[in-house]
Amino acid sequence: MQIKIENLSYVYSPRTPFEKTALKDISFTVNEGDTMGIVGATGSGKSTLSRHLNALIRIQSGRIMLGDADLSQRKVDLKAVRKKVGMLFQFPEYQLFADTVRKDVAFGPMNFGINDAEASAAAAEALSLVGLDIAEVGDKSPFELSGGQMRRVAIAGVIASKPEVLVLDEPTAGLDPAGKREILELVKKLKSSFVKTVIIVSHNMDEIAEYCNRVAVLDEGRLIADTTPDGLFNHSDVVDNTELDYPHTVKIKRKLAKRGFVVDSPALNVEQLTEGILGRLAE
Amino acid sequence: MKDVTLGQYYPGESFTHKMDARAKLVLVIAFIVMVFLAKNFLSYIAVMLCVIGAVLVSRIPVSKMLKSIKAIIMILIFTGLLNLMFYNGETVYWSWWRFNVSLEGIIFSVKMVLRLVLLVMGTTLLTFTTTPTGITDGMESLMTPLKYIKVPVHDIAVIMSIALRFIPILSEEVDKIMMAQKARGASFDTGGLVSRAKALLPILIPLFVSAFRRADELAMALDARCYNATPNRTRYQVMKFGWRDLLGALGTAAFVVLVVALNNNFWGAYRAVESVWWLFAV
Amino acid sequence: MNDNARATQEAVITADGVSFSYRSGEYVSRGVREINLEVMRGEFLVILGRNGSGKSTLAKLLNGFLVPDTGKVTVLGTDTSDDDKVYEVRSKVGMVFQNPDNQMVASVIENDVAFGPENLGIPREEIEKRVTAALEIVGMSEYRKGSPNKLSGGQKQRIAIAAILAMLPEVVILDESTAMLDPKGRREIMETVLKLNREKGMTVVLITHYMDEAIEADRIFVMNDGEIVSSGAPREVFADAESLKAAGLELPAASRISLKLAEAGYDVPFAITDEELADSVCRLK
Repeated sequence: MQIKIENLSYVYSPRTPFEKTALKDISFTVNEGDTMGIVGATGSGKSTLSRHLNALIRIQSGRIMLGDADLSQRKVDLKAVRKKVGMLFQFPEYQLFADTVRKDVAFGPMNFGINDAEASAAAAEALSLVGLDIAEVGDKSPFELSGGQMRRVAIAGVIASKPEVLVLDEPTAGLDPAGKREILELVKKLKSSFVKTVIIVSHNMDEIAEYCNRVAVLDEGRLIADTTPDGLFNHSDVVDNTELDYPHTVKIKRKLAKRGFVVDSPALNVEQLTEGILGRLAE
Repeated sequence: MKDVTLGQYYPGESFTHKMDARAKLVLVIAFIVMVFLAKNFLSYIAVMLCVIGAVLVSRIPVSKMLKSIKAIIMILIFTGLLNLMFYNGETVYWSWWRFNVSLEGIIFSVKMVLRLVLLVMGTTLLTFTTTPTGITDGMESLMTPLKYIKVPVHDIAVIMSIALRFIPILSEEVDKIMMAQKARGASFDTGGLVSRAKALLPILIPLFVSAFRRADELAMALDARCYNATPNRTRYQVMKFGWRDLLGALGTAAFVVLVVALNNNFWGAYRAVESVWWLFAV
Repeated sequence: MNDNARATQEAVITADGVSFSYRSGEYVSRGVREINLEVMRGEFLVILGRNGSGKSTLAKLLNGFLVPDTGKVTVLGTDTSDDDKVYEVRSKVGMVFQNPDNQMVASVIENDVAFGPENLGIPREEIEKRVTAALEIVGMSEYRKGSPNKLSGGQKQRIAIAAILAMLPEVVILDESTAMLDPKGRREIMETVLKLNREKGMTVVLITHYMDEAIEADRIFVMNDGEIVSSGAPREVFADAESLKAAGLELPAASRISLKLAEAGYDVPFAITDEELADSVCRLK
């Protein structure tokens, strides 16, 4: 399913003295199979944009096509949209509420109108996808689990409705390095399941560089780049002109270049940079 | 949710901002009394002038003030309609079943709405021009006599201050939790009363869990800052009555007198204004 | 790296054979076991560990929030289990927490910074001076009269540091104070911490799970499963890649690359900073 965003604009409290423009004339397309990063400074409109994608915010002007469904239509079926586009908020473990893990994970599927037995099966499947065993944790309270486990349960709660598109807002915030890697590897793994498209909103350029095949940059509500991580970090000056940062490995590559050691590699992760250095040394 | 302006401080350096919080608290009480004293339109106009004057002196943008009215717009409409429909007036213009719209009803409901608007504006002006800490410090100071009957006045003040500080944080949190549950297909505006109440659980539970977690951390943070270390706590914010407070008090007193006088007759009001004028002249 | 001449041989905090476990009813969970460490005046000490390694428990033992089950913690000669000296210890060992929103009590920044000194009964004029100085150090003077609600995470956390500094502590402990921040916020806090330590001579204990924040430390303690598993200068600790991996930590990119290059047969010494790596790679060419 393709997501096509056309001339999307959004203004908070329009036609009042408190008017605040959040998005200005944004157009881009996310293709099925993409892992798209959305980056930008705080207040650049990232959250407003991502919340449009599953109709948590009603479109004011412009259009979003979710496959064949036009989200700008008044009569759009909200539940159908939200079932197709799963959305994981920042610190998702803070939204857990049910008395057992099983019930919490089944909450989504039940809302989307399937029966108890099916919802329970969906919960079991979602939990196993995030690496948890329903027999072990299913009847525990989500609040008894460790932080990392709680986040997995929260992710399971979102993917239990088998969304085709998964939107993740800062999915690794607050985790330690091992926890971060686990979550990102999990997202990668999910892409070989029913999840076809992933959109990651993040401040962390290392993660964007390593895990996304495309990246969109927002700046004060405008889309100022729609490119690949390589294009953004190695072949443009967008980063220098915004509050964004380079991925750590690209920083090292640039340091090397300053000293006359030019590495011919995108250097989007440690492996790529190492290969680039080795290649140059072998010359 | 983000439109909650009640209890939000608007930084500034105006006359009103510089007034003593205690003076402002007392004056707001006087103002509330004034609003309830007003009987006829002339006296309402006087109260309005008082508010307009106070807004001008405080240099709060009019748009900010209007926003506070916007927050209670539904209550205003409701109050207005209710009074309009149910007031038993004599000059009936329109009537259906139990509803009567009469001249007296119209006048009464306009007065009621005006009264609410004025009350909200007056109190918002206090919270706009006084830091929450100022308000709590002021209340604490005004409540000092209660210390002698063993009321933990300072603890109450700290609790109020923390409550004020966390209102915007928690309201943002509610927003976020609601969105997250909506994204999982939850709906909060369908079904009967029971199912709606049930639908609130996925919001209430995370909210309470979060509030408890925050309270836990906050308790540690208070300990880290040596809260209750000594009974001889000092104050950073000193409160001093000054010329501004005196002026504010006199101004408010003048308006109270004016309102009372206008309630009776115009000439009485004229004489009242004249006498206040003399007071200032002296 | 270890160019900090301020680190002295005088211990400000001593933990001697400290063990602690959390109990709630029947349920006992392991906190920390057999911890021995000294925090020296003027040093920048980092305690590294993944979530659940016991590093936060250790932090709370060091300022007397928790009292050891066995063993002893002394702060400037005072035993933290001495009930009469609780506030003395807390004012000497200031602590900044993880969530910047949950440690501010006032809705105006200067009042929040003043809260600690007020509680200690410091005279008004002195508080005024302290607030000014503390906000100056963290670079937030211009926000003095503002509200914390509109600040970024990094800015809020700097205010939290200022609020601790205003109590004139001997040691500042940052308990995972960077964990919830974005990269920019983290950078702001690290700059502030280094400035505090290098320029003001403040003793700093930083609790974190990011190894790159430990690069500039004088000493590092690595915790895993409630125990200290290694300690020493950054270079020594980082070089023991196996035990770091076992502790669930991740070496900085420069270290990983230098190891890979060495593995490939190049003469690249173990690097912990980007500069070191760049220097040694350029030497090869």
